[in-house]
Amino acid sequence: MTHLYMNQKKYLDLQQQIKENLQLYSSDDTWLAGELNIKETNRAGLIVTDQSNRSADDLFNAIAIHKRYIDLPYALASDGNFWTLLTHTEYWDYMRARWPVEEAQQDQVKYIGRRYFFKDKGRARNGLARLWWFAELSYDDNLEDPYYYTELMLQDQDLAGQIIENTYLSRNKFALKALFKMLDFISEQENTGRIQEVKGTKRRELIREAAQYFNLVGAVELWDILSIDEAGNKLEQWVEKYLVGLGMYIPEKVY
Amino acid sequence: MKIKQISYPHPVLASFNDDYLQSNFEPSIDFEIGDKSTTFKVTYDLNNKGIENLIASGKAVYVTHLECESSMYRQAFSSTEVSFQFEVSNRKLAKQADVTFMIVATSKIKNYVNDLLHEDYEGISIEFNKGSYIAVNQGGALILEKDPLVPTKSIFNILPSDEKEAPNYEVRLNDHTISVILPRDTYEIVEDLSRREEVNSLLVSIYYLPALMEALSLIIDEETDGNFEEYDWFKSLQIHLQKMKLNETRVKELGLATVANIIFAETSDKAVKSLSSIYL
Repeated sequence: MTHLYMNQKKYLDLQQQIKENLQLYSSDDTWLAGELNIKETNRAGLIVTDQSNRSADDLFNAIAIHKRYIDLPYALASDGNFWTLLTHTEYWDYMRARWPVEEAQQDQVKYIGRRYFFKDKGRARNGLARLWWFAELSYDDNLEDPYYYTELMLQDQDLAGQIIENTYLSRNKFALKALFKMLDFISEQENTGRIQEVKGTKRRELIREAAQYFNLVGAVELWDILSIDEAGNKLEQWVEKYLVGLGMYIPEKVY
Repeated sequence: MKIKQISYPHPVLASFNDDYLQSNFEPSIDFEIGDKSTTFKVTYDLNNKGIENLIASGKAVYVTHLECESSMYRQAFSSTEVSFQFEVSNRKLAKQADVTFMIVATSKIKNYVNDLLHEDYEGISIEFNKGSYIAVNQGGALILEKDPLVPTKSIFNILPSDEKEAPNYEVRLNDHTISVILPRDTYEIVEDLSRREEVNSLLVSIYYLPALMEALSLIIDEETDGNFEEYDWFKSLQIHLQKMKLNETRVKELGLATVANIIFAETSDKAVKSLSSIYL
C-alpha cells in the first residue's frame, strides 16, 4: 500500500528531532522506511550522475518526478508531510546523492529542515517538492513538448530558484510565459550587440522588477485576456525603457 | 487575486466608488463538487446598458477569476453570456477558493461614453486598453470542502525547551503549527498526563486555549506584521471562523476567549467535567 502521509505526531516529532537524529542523516540506509515498513524505492527513477555537479540532472529529474506524480492534487503537493515522507523513505538514496548533509555549508540542522522537510519556502527548497513544482508551474499540455518551458526554466538554476520563490511568478503560468518571451527579447538584443549582457545581480533585479511591473499592471488590467505574444510585447516595451534607464544600450556607431 | 479599492486611471463600475450612477454589477456563484472536477455556475447581474452593449458587441467580456492560495492554483474564465459555467479539476483545488469577478475590455476602446457616468467624467476623453477593468466585484471566499479541517488539535504542538531560562509558558506562531513551549520537566509531566483520556480536555484548556487566543488576535489584527497568512494554522483558523460565520467584527464583539472556546467546541465544559471526574 502506498503511504501518502505519516501520522501527524510522527511528522512533528521528526521535525523536532533533527538534531538528535543528525547521525542518521549521514547513513546510506533509511531508518524511517524500515520503521514504517515502506518497501518502494525511487519509482520516479531520479538520478545523480555527476557528484561534482549535482544539479546537472535537475531537468531530467523534474520531468521524471512530475510524470510519476502527474495527477498529484495540489493540496497534497503543498503538504510538507507528503514530501517529508518521500524524502525520508522512497527517495532516500536520491536525497543522499543530491543533498548529502555532509555538504551543508553552515548549519546542518537547518539544511535538513529545508531539503528533507518543508521548512522555509518548502515548495522551493524541499529536495523533491521543488522538482515537481518546477515542472508543474511550467507544464503546458497544449504544446508538442509540454515541458518546453520547464527546460527553459531549468537552463538557469538561478532563474528557476527566483521564479519559484517569487509569489507572483510562481502562481501565474501566464506571467511565467510572458517572462520567457521577455528573456528571449533580451537575449536577442544581447546577441545583436545592442545592449550589454544583463547578468548577475542586474539580471536578478530585472526579473524581480518585471514581476513587480506585472503585478502592478494587474491591478488595473487583466493580463490573461491578452495573447502570450501581446503580453510579451507589452513586457518588451517595459524592459526597453528599464534597460535605457540602466544605461545598458550601446550607442550605435556612426560611420 | 484581490480587487483593491483603488482609484483607477479610468472609470470602473464597482460598489466601492461612484464612477457610475444607478448601476451595479452583482455576480453570484454556486458550485457542485463531482468525483473528478468541480462545476462552478456563475450568473452575472449587470445593470448598466452601456456596458451591456460593450459585451454584446464583443468589446468586453465577463470574467470570473478563481484562486486557491494554498494550492497556488489560479485561472480566469471569460464569457459573454450572463449565465456561464466552467469546470476545474479537483486536484487543483484546495479547501478554499477566492473568487473575484470583472468585466474586461477585449480590445482598445477609444472615446468611451456612457450615459450613467458620473458628471466628473463629462468632457473627458476615456480610453480602455485591451484587458482594462470596466467593472469589478470583489467576490469572496468559497469553502469547497465539506469535511472539517484538519482536526483542530493537529495545528497545535507542545514542545519541550532545554534552555536554562526557559519561560514557564511560551507560544510560537512562526511556523505551520501553533507551538506551545514548556520547560522540559513540565513537558514530561504533561506528556505523561496526556495519555490519560480524562485529563485531555483540561490540558487543552490550560495550554491550547491561551495559545489559540493569541493566534486569533493575529488573525483579527489588521496591523499585524509578518507573513502569518502562509501558515497552516492561520488558514485553518480562518476557514473555521468563516464556517462559523464569525467575521472580524463579530470575533471582537464576542471576545477572544469565547471564540476560542467555540472553536474547541465547549472545551471548558469538558474541562469542568474532567475536573469533577478527578476530584468528586
